[in-house]
Amino acid sequence: MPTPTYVAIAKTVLTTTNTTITFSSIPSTYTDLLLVFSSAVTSTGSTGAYLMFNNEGTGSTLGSSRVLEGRGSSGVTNSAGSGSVNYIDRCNVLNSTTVFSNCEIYIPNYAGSTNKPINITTAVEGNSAGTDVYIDAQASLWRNTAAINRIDLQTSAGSFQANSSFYLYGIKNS
Amino acid sequence: MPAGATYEPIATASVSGTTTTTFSSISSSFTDLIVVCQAKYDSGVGTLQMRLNGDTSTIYSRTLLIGDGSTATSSRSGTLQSFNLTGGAALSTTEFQFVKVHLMSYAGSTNKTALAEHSGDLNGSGRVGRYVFLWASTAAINSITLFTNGGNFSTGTTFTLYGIKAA
Repeated sequence: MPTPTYVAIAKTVLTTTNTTITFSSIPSTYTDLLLVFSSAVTSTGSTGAYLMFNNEGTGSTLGSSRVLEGRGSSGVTNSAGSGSVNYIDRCNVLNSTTVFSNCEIYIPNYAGSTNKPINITTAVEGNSAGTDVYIDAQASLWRNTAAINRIDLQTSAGSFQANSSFYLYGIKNS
Repeated sequence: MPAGATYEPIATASVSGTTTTTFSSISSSFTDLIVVCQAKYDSGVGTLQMRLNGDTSTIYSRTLLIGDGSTATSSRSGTLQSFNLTGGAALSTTEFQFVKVHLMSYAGSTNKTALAEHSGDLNGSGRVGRYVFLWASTAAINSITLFTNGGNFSTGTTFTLYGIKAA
């Protein structure tokens, strides 16, 4: 029997709306982390979600972000995001309260003592041109050498809808 | 999640002070391969490259989609001698960059395709990229070489090879 290397650490599936999802007491026994979620929100006025590590608050050790975006009709755009690594651009495209978007966040060497590169892919198909169609790739950097032991996701407006689901996996390299 | 039987670590390499590492004698018992890279340089200017089966012939090609914070570009190139995993950008001497490469049907008898995700934000510069590669060879992949064409890899650089089995 091979060694389990792709392990579900925790999951949250909402039965009612909630503004914040927290994964705490993350063990340092894995090599990498993968956060996968599918969500919609109650507000149409938001375009992203906040990703926070170790409950540090906003702005302290956050890096910049490179965002590469396709919207179906307008081709590919690119921006430096909001300048905060914890703002996941289009991570939950919130122009619809019913369309669920999908996001993967890969964090290599999350328990190491170096700054943490973060790889993000987001996709949503809302069957309408313009506001509800996105494919995003985002590179971010958490400029902190602490091991990640907690992850929070918070809507930038409104709440995550019921049935939004969040899964945290640990990946071992041996 | 009892997925250990389908996503298995094959080998990992922690590399520093050298320009090259190779995963050799790769079993053909998986369906796909995943290579996860976290890399930076100790000096110099060079990119992160991947070569298959030690093949230096010009049968590698790729198409890139890249964003650097101000512009988005797409391009393609052929007659290459390796895959450029950082989209032509140099590795950093200060921040680690992340690349995940998915090699599909690596043991099959058709040409080999790969898809890569690259995150190289450098706190005010850097890039994000998505790349598709083709190695126009029908040989099964049995070795993967990761190398730089500049300085040495720095301490903390790691490469991990995973095998994925279909049901």
